Amino acid sequence: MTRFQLRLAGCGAILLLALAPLLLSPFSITLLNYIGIYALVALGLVLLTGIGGMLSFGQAAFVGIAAYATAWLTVKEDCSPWLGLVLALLLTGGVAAILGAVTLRLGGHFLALSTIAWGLAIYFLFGNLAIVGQFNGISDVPPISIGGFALVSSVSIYYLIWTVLVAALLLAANLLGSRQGRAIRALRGGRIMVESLGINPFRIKLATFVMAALLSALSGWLYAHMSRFVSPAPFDVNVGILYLLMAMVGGMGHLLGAVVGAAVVTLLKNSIQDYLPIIAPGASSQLEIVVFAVLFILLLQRARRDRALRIEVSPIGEAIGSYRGRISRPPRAA
Amino acid sequence: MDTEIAAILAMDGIATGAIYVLIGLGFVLIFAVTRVIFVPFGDIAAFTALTLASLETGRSPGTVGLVAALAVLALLMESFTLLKARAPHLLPRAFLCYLILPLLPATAVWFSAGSILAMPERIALSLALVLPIAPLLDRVVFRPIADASVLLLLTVAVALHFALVGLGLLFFGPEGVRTEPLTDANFEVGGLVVNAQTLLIVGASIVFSALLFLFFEFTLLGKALRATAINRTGARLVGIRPATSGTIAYLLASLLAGISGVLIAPVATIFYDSGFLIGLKAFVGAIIGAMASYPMTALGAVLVGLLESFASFWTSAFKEVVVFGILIPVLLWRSLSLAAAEEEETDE
Repeated sequence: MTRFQLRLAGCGAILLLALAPLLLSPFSITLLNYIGIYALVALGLVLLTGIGGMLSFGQAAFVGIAAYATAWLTVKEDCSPWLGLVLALLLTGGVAAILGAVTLRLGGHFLALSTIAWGLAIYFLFGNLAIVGQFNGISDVPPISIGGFALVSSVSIYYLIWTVLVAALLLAANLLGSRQGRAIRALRGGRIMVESLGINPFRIKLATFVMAALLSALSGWLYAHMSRFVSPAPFDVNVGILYLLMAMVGGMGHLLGAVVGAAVVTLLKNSIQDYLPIIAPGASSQLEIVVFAVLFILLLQRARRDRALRIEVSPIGEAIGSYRGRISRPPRAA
Repeated sequence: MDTEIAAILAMDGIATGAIYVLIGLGFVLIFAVTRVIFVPFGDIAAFTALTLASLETGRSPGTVGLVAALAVLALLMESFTLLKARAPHLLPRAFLCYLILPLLPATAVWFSAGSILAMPERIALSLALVLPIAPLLDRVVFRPIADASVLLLLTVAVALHFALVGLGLLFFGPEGVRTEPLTDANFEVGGLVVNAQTLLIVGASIVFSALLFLFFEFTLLGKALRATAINRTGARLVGIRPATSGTIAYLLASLLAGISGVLIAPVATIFYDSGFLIGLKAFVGAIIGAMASYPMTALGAVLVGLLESFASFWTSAFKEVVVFGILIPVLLWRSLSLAAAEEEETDE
């Protein structure tokens, strides 16, 4: 596509998004809200894993920190949600900076493992801190209001979510084209190459990590004020892996993949919830996890060899595999 | 806190740590040989405990169904691979290895249905029932991507853990179990009451660690496993099949996990999803040992046990936070000492 066609397609997509509430049922709009919120996290993961080559299972914890920060400030301290946004971004960014400073020097699997560990630690922190309501969570979170107009209905917050998402996508695309963005993309070439280009790999990794966390924070802030309730469950490590699944389904190499992945996984989750009780009544909520896990495993197994699968998943195999920039595959072992 | 409480906590911590030692060693064993960070390993321990509990009450354990399903799946995949490779003469062997052998313990359960076995038989049977799970999972999930990078294998392992937890609920149900104590003798040493169960746990952990050491040091099979861990291509050149080594590593490690499951079942209530936390704590120990050194892993695991025990005394609500939080200073120390080396061996 030429640049003009690309812009045309972009404008068309934005127009469609703007008109969606007129065309779709309220339930579909709610689904779209969730897709938008998840896509923000997945976008962070695309930057972090797909483009930067770092794997994180702990993004859900960042979403949680932001959601709890804003919920606590607005409910317990009676502040405006906009102040909540500031606190959410500051707190999440701060925590990410500290965690990143400690763990990002580690290579490959140690980094990934540490994300599971601190993801769990943060999850248990939510569940046991008295000031954030322990496992009961915080309810009656106020809605976001813009100029006196409270975004209570799912249609009104829909516009906010998707405006934020489109803005984040544009910013991310611009970033990747910039000098810093090229440095992030160079990370996958391996430490030695990056250093020889005069880039400090640690600083770039840390910046990418904090950026992904901030995108999660935006998502958490929107989530808290949309669902008007926060509890520890949505920020567990198994949700973290669901985010990773979204980023992988959509194709790790492309920013729009985050939106596609979030949409596919959300719709799939929704239809599983519809159909599983018919197939296996009683155990559906656990089976849902099994179905997703099995799909995820199949995807990862297929992705490596079957490029014709067209869901450009191969970038994940590649993103993960070419951490040192090696494209050729090692000889088959078995 | 006075010295008596400290002594009790330390004893408790060492007992918990001893259980983590067994699981941590298993992690390192599997990782070294197959490069898979086998996250669902704690689940194997929990499943052993659940199996033992069902045998205790004379019910048929859910493991039978789980193993049967996995065995059929593994056999189908193996047959498909063999037929595709035009080697149908190997089919009977596959039939034996992937269906008959894993299901032998299950048939034993079938025959003993209703009758309640004696304690040693129950333990042996639950260990035998659980043993095939990890090698079968290896065949179904990891063998097709054996040459993938460590990170991809890790991602698959994490996903596999969630699948297993779901299946665990399906096959074992949501109830928590606690089995009969293996022994209820008590000793008094210097004014302290020492539970024989604690001694048993620590003893078993030491014995099996020592056996593992002897196995690696003095048997041909052990040396073959070590060779595979050091260099897969090199191992193949001297006639060692990495796939077979992998299966043996899984079997050995499952045995370790099974034993720790048997040991932990009488002292803690085990649910279908308890394995994750047990496994991850053992993991923290393994990370202290850099996923490579067995003695350091054992030391790290005991450290985690002690930390957990003392943390539950000071701030019981935050003991998980403390245990996983400890990883951050550990990683900081690791990153300062061997970050450069790690990055270079990210994918082999």
